[in-house]
Amino acid sequence: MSHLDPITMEVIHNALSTITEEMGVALSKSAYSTNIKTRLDFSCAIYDYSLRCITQASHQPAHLGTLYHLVPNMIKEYGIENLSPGDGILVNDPYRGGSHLPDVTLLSPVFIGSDVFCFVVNMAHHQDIGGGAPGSVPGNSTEIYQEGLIIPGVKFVEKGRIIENVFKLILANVRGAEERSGDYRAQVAANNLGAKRLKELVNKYGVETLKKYMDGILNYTENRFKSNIGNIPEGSYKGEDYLDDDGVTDKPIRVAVEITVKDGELFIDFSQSDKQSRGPMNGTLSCTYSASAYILKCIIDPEIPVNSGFYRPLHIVAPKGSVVNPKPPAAIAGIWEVGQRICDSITKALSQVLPGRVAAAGKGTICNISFGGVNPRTGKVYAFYETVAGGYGARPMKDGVDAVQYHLQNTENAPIEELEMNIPVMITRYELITDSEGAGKYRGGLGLRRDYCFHDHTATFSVVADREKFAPWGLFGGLEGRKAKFTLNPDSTNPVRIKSTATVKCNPGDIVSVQTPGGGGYGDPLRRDPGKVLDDVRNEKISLKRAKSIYGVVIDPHSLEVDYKATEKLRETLREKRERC
Amino acid sequence: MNKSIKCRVGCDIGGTFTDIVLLNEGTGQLRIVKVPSTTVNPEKGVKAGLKKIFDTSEMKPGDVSYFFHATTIATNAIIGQVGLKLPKTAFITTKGFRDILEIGRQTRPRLYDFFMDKPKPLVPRYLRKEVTERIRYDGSVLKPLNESEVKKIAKELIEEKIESVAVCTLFSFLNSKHEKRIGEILKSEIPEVHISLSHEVLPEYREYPRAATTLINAMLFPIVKKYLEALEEELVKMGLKKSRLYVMSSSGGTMSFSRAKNRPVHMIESGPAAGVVAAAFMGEIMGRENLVSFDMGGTTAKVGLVREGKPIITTDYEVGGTTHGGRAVRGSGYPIKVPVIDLIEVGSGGGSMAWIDKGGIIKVGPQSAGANPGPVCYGLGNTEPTITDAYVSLGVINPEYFLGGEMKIDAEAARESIRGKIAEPLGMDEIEAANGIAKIANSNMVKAVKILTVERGLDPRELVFMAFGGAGPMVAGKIASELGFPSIIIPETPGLFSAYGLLVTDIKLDYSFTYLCKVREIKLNELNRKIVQMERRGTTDLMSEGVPADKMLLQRSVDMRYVGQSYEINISLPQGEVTVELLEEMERRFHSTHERIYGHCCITEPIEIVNLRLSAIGILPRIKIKAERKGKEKPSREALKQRRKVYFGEKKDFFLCPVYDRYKLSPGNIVYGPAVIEQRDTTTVVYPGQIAKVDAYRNIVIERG
Repeated sequence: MSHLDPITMEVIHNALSTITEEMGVALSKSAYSTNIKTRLDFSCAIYDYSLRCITQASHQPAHLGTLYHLVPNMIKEYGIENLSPGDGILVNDPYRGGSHLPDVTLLSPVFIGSDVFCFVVNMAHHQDIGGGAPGSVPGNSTEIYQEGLIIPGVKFVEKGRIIENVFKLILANVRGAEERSGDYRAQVAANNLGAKRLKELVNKYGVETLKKYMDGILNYTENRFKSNIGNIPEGSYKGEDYLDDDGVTDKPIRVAVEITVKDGELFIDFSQSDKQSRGPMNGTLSCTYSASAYILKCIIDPEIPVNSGFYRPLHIVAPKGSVVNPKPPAAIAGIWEVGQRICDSITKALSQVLPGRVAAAGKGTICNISFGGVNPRTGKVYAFYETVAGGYGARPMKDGVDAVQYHLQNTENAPIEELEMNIPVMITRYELITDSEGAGKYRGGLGLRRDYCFHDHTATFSVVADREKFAPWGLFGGLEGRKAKFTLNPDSTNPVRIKSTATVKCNPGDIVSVQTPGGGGYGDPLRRDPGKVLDDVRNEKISLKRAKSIYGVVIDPHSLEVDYKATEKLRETLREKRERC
Repeated sequence: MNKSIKCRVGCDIGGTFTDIVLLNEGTGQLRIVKVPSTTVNPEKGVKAGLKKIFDTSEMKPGDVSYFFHATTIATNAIIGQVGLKLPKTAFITTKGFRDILEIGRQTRPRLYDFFMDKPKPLVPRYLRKEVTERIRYDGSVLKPLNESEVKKIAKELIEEKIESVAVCTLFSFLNSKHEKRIGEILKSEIPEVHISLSHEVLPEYREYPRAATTLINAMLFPIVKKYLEALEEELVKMGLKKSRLYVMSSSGGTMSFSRAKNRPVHMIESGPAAGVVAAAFMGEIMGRENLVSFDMGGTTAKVGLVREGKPIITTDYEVGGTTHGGRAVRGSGYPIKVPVIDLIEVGSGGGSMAWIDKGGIIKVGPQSAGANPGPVCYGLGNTEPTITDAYVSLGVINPEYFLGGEMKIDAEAARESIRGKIAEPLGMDEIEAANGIAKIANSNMVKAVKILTVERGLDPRELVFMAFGGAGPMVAGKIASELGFPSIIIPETPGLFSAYGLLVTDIKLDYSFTYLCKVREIKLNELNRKIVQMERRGTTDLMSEGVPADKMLLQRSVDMRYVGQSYEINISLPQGEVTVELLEEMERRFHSTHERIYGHCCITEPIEIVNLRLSAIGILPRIKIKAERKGKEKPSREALKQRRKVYFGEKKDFFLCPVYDRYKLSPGNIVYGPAVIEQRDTTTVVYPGQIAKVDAYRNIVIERG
């Protein structure tokens, strides 16, 4: 890097990341769907002429590695020579490197003279892309074709304008076409802006200088990541975890990883994972890549920039035909559930060697909720999609956060008043779940309950979630968090269990209760500060009964004071009992 | 002494100093004193400062026509400053929803950090109470209010010794019946406790921000009331008139002490707004209605925007939040949806430190050495190089004339720290490193200015750049020219300019309500009735602030969006009855604004209105600033203090450049860059290729030569 000036490098790096951020602002503000706008379910990036990621502004970690595969695959397939200034290529095909179908990506070349200099790219999660269930995340699909429209990489924009024929074809296949059309326009506007800003940067520095510094930025990132990996003791570390089932059968799915640290590089081998599943619980190679990249960034270097230099020391083995790299036409609606489990298994593996850098397992599911029907207020078809937060895993020295998004997702909730004004649903409860934490010296975060009532019409309700059978695990003596629970009419005389991946019909008056898992604990619950247990009891986050039986803390139910003597005695007894077992 | 001559007093309490400014309304003469702030009882510091200023003035406390106060007490209380204990507060809401405050937006503020936390809930769960009741999306009552539950809660609150209560039930902005009733019952059961009702504090939809805003109002109420009453007592004792006391609000206007006590959430950003108000005022005098205000001090640089003479306001603000690269990190603080002057703040001030990151790249800020110990060159113990140290090393700051020579500057220590901490580890020379620090800090600030201009579809070439604060005039020439601003304005006293903003403001009261409706489906009668109601409230309130009818100005606006969007754009609504024609005009304005900001619009798409807003303004008498006659272009011989070697980063060498004394420059003078202009409170740099003119108001106007 000696011939590069570290000052210019920082200034150019700053300018490049400002462009992707600015694209994100334009996209989120002018989009229509809540999903893109307020839940920020999108990412923007710049790729260079040799298809390397230069910078990515990621609001959703799930998109980290998906663009990394999709962009080069797509441009190679389409042919860089077939692109003209003002073109835009639209793609959502998981088997070309994409995520699930609702994540639609627009790639636009930026020409300097007659040559492609860079690509500006944005990926946004659309509320619906057609297919068998409103929201396009069906819980029962067995082929990708049931999940919505596949866009294999088609020219969507020409000379800066949307090609109307193609647009019509897409809109004819999706629910809520009016809203959707605004989202596609916003994606085009974001790329137009990105291209404009990149050209301004070229005017300032010139193509050659920028190219030189882009190389420098990637090398800087690679060296930094490698030196951090170098601090991890060399060796091989194994971790495994399970998904409830594939949505069609009851058979659990195993995700297993072996991580080898050697010479400042990481070899991440998923060969021991299960074969691809029949139902929608399949990751794709780019999902596996994203999830691995995300969790390694968290554990090893949270502040490292996201570009190709960061990916260079990562080597991933995911056998074709496995749950982490299925063959078409496998269904993949549950892709990010697999992704969350990949994060969990990698965390488990590295907890053996980096105990102070990891958290216990948290919610562990994206918890995709989608529903739709005919809106009795308007007579029109509606579709809605959202995800529900849950407990975060406990951390060394710290409790897990209650009711927060986990790992690969960070999308906001829909305000209840806004939701009810737009859509014929009524939320009847939205609250933390008492006693859902995984107990520990540091406890896991509480899960969340959100109940949906369809009071005046028939609706189709899909859940694509997980951790209904396998609870979020604790670490170093910490206990499991409460599992997920999905129930039709929970408080009635006849509650019906809904599996974690399912699509159900709701009759007028029906309520669906979504209850997300709590996070796992860290350390022995008998060593938890009794004062903290008391706080949780007072706040009804933990029941008196649980305080006593799990934490060994005796609290007077009337005065709400800890009986320290009795606590000490009880803890002693519980310890002895534990040893006897 | 002429009894008819009055004075205005501004009082700004900062973390370290309390600034008092006094303006003689007759002569326009400005006087300032700085006294140490007294954190626990801030009114004591104010009293000391006022005593000091009146002791040396021909004015007496009884001559004060307006006392304007900016305070950060509200923010400090929320972010947990020592000595300000938040009152024990309870929250009451619809059954099933007591956790909305704790769940918030359900996101984590930092994506890749396992150790992140959401902002701590301001009210613990056991003090969040639920009542059976439910109002639906259309305002109809699904479940009536269970009044006996409310009475039971009242008893519990007494036992808990609650000092304040916030009430926010679902859809109360559409139908306030239940919230009102809860308020009545609490009032009669526990009359001594303050109650904030969400439909009164913020009758807008989206339950979480409304609940949070209401809660913060409730929590601030006892603190602000106690503080303002104590201050009022001191001031009245000194001889100021009770009816003349005003507090600056977050939206850049002022309101009387008695009103501020009832709506404390409106004074959260009372302090920082003043600089933008001052810039708007100076812009108006100079005939520059569109400008960026750039205030760079010791720890941060704050960028504000003035359009058509008015500071830009946002209603998307979080108190106690963090920022990243100038952007507020959503979900890191507590949302308050009242109007706040929109400021982008970056950690680039004179005291911001330079450091080398793990990969060998220079970074500047956000860590700051502040004013104490301050930059290395202050010699007060800091050894990490700062932006100020860089400018000392480059020869821009005169070590012999810092604060007019009152403060000793150790230039060698500054150079030494840059050499040892930055230059040597990276194998570069010391001057290159100092220049690099300046460049990187500039690029951070350029980004902040971009966020407020180009990201909002505004072209810097159509704006002017007004720079102030202790460090602003030093860097303005670089930042503004990089972004293409045609001219830069440096006011006469950049260090005092913010405080000046306190003296030139108007009374301003803000109101809003949600009226969600497609434009084409609006029932004009109903809408007009609601607008008239809001305006009547504004007029009545202005009257009680003592504003005569001919000084009232009602500015109305509408938040609009395409149907299905969930982000609104504020469009001003002209006076008069709303008619079909006016709505069509509003639609046209919306399309063109959307086009400007987001680069596209769709005239076939239906539009809906979301909120109606009103700023009820009481216009205060304008301060007159006299234009002086312009003299010679060539500065007088005495104005040229010396020639000094200064490094501008061009041609990689020092320039022997002229240094002027600002106090000896007079209107009409022209200075050709490169040049440095010194005054007590700041150093202005005229970069190579720029020329600086002193205008009739003694502002320096820098343009490209």
